[in-house]
Amino acid sequence: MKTRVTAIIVARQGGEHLARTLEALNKQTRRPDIVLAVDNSSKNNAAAQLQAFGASQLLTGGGRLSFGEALDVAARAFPAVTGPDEFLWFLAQDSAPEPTALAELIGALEVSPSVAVVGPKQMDWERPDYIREYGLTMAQGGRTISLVVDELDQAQHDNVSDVMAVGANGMLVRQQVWEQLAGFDHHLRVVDDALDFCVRARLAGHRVSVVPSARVLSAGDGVIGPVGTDSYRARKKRARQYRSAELYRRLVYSNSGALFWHWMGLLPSAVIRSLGQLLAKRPGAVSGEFRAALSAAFSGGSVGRARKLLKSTRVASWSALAPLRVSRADVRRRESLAREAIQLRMHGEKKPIHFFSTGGAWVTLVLAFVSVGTFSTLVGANAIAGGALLPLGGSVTDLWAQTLWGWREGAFSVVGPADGFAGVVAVLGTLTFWQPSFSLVLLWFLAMPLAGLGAWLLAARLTQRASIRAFIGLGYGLSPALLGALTQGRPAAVIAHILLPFLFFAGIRAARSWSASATTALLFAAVVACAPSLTPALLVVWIGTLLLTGRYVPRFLAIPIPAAALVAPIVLVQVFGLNLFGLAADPGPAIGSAVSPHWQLALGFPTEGLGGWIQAASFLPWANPVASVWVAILVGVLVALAFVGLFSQYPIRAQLAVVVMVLGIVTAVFASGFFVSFNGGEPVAIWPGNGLSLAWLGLMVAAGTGASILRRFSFFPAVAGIAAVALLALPALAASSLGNSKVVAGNGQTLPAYVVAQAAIDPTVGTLVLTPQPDGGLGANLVRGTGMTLEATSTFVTTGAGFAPEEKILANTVSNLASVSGVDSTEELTSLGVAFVVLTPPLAEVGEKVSPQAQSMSARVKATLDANAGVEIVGKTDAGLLWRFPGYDASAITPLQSAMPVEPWRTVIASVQALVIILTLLLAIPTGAVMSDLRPKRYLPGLVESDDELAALDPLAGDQDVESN
Amino acid sequence: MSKATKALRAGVTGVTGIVSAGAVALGIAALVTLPLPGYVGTAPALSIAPVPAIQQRVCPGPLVEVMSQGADDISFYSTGQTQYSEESSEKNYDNFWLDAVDNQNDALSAAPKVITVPPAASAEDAPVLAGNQVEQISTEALSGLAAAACTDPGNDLWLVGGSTEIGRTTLVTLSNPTDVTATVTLEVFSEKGYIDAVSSEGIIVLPGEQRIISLAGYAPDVIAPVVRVMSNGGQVLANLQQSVTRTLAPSGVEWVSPGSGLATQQIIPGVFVAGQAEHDRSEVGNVVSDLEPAIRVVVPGERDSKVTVTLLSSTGKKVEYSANLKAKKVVQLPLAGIADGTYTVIVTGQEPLVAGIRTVQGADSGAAAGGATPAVTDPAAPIVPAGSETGGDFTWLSSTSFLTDQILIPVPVGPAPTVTFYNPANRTAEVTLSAQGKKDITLSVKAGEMVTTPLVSDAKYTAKGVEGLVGGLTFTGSGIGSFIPLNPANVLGSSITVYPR
Repeated sequence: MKTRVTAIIVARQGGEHLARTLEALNKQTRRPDIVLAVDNSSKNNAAAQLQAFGASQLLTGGGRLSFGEALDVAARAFPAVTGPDEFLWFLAQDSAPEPTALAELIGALEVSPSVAVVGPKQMDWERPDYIREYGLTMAQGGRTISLVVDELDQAQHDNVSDVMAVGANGMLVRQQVWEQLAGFDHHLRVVDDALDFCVRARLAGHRVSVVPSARVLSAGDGVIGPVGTDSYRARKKRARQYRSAELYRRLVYSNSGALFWHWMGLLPSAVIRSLGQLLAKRPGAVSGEFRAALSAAFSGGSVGRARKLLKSTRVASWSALAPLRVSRADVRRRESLAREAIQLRMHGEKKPIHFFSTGGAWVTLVLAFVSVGTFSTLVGANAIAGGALLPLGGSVTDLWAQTLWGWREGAFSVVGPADGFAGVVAVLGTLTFWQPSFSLVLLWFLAMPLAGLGAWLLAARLTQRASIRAFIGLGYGLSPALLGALTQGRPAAVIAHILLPFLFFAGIRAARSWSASATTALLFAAVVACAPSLTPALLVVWIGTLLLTGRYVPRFLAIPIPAAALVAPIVLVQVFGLNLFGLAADPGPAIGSAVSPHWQLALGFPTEGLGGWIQAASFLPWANPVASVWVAILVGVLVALAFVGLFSQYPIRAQLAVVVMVLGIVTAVFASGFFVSFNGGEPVAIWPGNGLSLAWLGLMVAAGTGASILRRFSFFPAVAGIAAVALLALPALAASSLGNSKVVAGNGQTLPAYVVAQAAIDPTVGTLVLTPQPDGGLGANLVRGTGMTLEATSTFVTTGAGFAPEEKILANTVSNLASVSGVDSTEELTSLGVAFVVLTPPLAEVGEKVSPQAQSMSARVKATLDANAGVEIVGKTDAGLLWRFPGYDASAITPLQSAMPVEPWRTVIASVQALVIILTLLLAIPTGAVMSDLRPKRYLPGLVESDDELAALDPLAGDQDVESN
Repeated sequence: MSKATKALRAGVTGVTGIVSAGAVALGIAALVTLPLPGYVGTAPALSIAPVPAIQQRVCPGPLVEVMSQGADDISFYSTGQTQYSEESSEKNYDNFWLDAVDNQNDALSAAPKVITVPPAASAEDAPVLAGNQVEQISTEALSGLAAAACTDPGNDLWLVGGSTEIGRTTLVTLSNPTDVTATVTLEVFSEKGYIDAVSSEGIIVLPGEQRIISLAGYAPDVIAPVVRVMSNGGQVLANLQQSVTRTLAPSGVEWVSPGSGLATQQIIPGVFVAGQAEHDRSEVGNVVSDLEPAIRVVVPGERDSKVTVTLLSSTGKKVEYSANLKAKKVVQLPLAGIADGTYTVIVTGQEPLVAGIRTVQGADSGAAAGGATPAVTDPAAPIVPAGSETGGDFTWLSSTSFLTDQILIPVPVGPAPTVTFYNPANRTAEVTLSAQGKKDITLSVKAGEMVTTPLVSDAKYTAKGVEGLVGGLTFTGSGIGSFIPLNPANVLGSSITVYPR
């Protein structure tokens, strides 16, 4: 019987690809008997070419048809089926067959009647000796796997014949079988249509094979199969399409018993796979996972129709297909090969930083020794106290509980948001979970080495020179802002100072990887939580980076998201409470420091006294001017280096660093004038040291750039810089040993031991802490249990936000207690649950002596409490004078009232925050670059390591003076 | 890179470098020098008046003479008549008298008075109440003028004054107006340091009783004692009655009132000095003789302290000197370098301290012919000083507390009452003194300055606008003098500013 070939060619647009395809068709040694053309272009622009070719019939699709649908349009013009040797040949506008292709394919069908479908080798359009696709199969789970991808054809696959499926491009199929199986499934519009057809053909008892001698070129125009371009969006879309098709096929192929469970499992598996996508640094694929699951779950009647069709045509069992599937081991082998190929391509971009050989370890070690020497008085301490330091809660659970919305300590009867800082403290305390307060001791000892390490790593990204790296590392580790925060006892500022260089270290890479971007986001959140006053400056840097990078906007746009989630509750509450300045308040207890005048801030010193130099010079005549000039000279060395940096070979880097420095100084100067939180009645200014940390980092980078101007001799300016910084730091380093530091070894308690012992038995024990204020007022604070802890403080309370009418209850009690009054306070104390009253030493204004008014208030409270028959004096303790109220009864405490409810806010806020943080964390965990990123790399101009390619890209950037040795 | 591009790059770098460096320098200079907007928040606070309580002022009572100077059997007897003067915003007095068990005189007039006013029903503020007493005496044993304020009792009182040298008698009076037994312990500091109490067990003062104890029993032969009175249980008012006899002639008597308590700063207003020419000492040294005026200071803590003394005259002239004081040792600093007049003395130390001042009214300073017993029963009669006949008089001035906005000054009958106000605050205070049937006196007390004005004897003044000031009332005559510290009205019941977080 004579064979008859009906070729169907589908075009979506006319042009060069179509012309070449038609020409190739003309050159066939065995010409098709009938050529049906489907013009599926939106503007019929392929019609003319197809007509000129002389197709038997030209059908119009209108531009919206999938390949399968276009074939069905053509099917109307198919000649009637009379026997098994009538074939259909599927071609697209971009499938140019080699002259013998059709002849070879027909030959394969003719020799083996059991074969119903044959497919050619699909070769690359541009490089015709590369195989693009050659047979398809499925993994055990049903995932589509192409047997050959992008390999040079060296006849290495020519021994393959039987395959699970072949691609639609150039597929030759018996018309009888095609009609029996009702063609391609229209639900599989783009991918897997041919795979599905071949699987059904095999289940209907036919064979599918590839023909190595038949070759068809394929350009990947997207007429058959997905668009082949390699853009990020196209890859994302392809991933979704394959996943969507896989899920659909799973529903169609599954047996009816498992169908329901497969359907139920769609969304949960999308969630789990999304987490996997995050770990694999493909956050863009997450939406595709859900869209694929939803499209499979709600595919209308398609699944039912497809299942019915499959059932009616199936004769073979699924097990017959099993040998054609790929084994798991094979899948793993393929993936690891792909990963190696990618890593090979990525290699060379990674530049090792030589932590040990270029002095990173030395810088850290030197700072560690300096740190131990500086805090020798704290060696062996289990806890530290002084300044804004408070002990941490007794258990890790307590720490995390304070990160939630709820009752706030330090205020009487108010529900409100937690600070982001509570989360940072919780993480810190969890590190030393056996004794959370000990983490602060570690923080004090590790602050200098860690800050130096961060700055050194940042420097390693910028320069190859060991001396400059050491200068930046040591300079930042000994920064006056850090030493100020350490001697003043400001844990939040210390943490912010440590994290800042790491933030910039990760931020420079944020454009290049999702891992770095997510790390930046987490560090940004931590810095903003520790130093809210830095937010404006950091946002300016962020916006500037967005504008400078141009591309990779998503990776930068996402950076503030975790920070926003963390601080959103307190921000919203403060904004609606019209307490906008309160947003800038430092977390932790509000403790004032002697703020330096503006000119001292501009020199980098957060507190009065130029880092101890004025005191150190006090034995000289004119101590103040002498110390000021001396310090100005030392800072001047660094400023001069920074100035030189502007004219070095990296002027843009120096300019950017100077901009960061200016932002920091502006932040510090403004911060020192804003008194936004309250220590009792005393307004407390924002700690200017946070701005100065940022400024010092900018200064160090600019000065390091300046030092590099001498190229091989940059050792000398770097040493001069190190000497200047070390001299500046001397008095502050000695402060702790000389007793000039506020930080001392503590016992981890803020209340008298007598109270702590009682609170250990009954944690609801209330202690009324009374503190005479400089203006003669009386600060009153009702604390429960063992006393105030660092994580329990909140700016919501210290900025005076949410001042509730209930506070009057406490104030009334205090007023009567501190007076010879007409009422016996017994009832009020019982109702408040007060068991102890502590009169602390009077509060003095910063830099002043205790005022006479405060002393007389102190005397008044003492006199009235002594005279009060209801309370008994216990005696003098470390925390102050202690009285006991014997009428305390835990069951008689009146429950507190608050304007805001605890639930549902607590659950809602905690879930959203946890979700955002966990997702960012997953993205931040470095799991290796599994996905290739073929796009050209682009960097922050002026900030990144040397790369010949990069140098060509941006002539102003890059460090080309690699050390010659 | 071509040469031209290189040159261009260098040029651009140079210009932008210079421009940005200049801009940064100018910007930072402007930032440092220009005034910037700032913000100082107001802490949430509640000013709350406590529930008013009964107001009570205890008076020390009459001066007593020591009857027998035997080894263990000492008894006391009062001869003179104490003049009380009291004033209250509510007139429903509920006064009573203490039982002076150690005074052999059983007459009611010999009992110390307790002025009491309950708050009016539904009143929001406690009544304002004040009382003073004065007694002029001239017997074989005692002579001179002794005035004292009737004040709140307390648990911890500091008395700076007295002496137990030969010829000096110092008695401690302990008055317990409460319903609870008070157990009182005395701590005595002397020029040699802290004296371990001979009798460590407490002195029991029953409710409604006054006890009189000779300080010599605790601290014999002390030139400059400072007594701390601490009571457990009920609160007491403690005073010292010091009298001096020089070669058999009674040479002055005085009440020592409790000072403002242990603090780093003590202010003593109304220090009137006369005859400075005789005992002016240019150098700073310890004053031993009780014929010289002196500032008695002790730092009772554990650490030595540098102490600064500021003598402020009514003309605004300031004399200042410093001394280093050993802990726990009482020192008498001189009133050096000043002329006669009225002064305010401010003693400031690094450590908490207490201070009091003795001034001396010389026996020969009065020219008036004396001899007549003062007509204390007739307030209109002129006071005739008895000083010239006897050995003169002396005055103890105690440190005073910050006043509340409105106080009452009932002036008892006495010679030349004069009120002094000192303003330690940093803004001018406008003070009005009014008394029924008298012309109002308005005073303007500038920051850091003092003002004195004479008052009329036996009048009841109301002083307004005295918040934050300190004040004292002095009586001076020829060869006699005494001092009453002005106390804030109901200091332990005034409203409090509470910062409840």
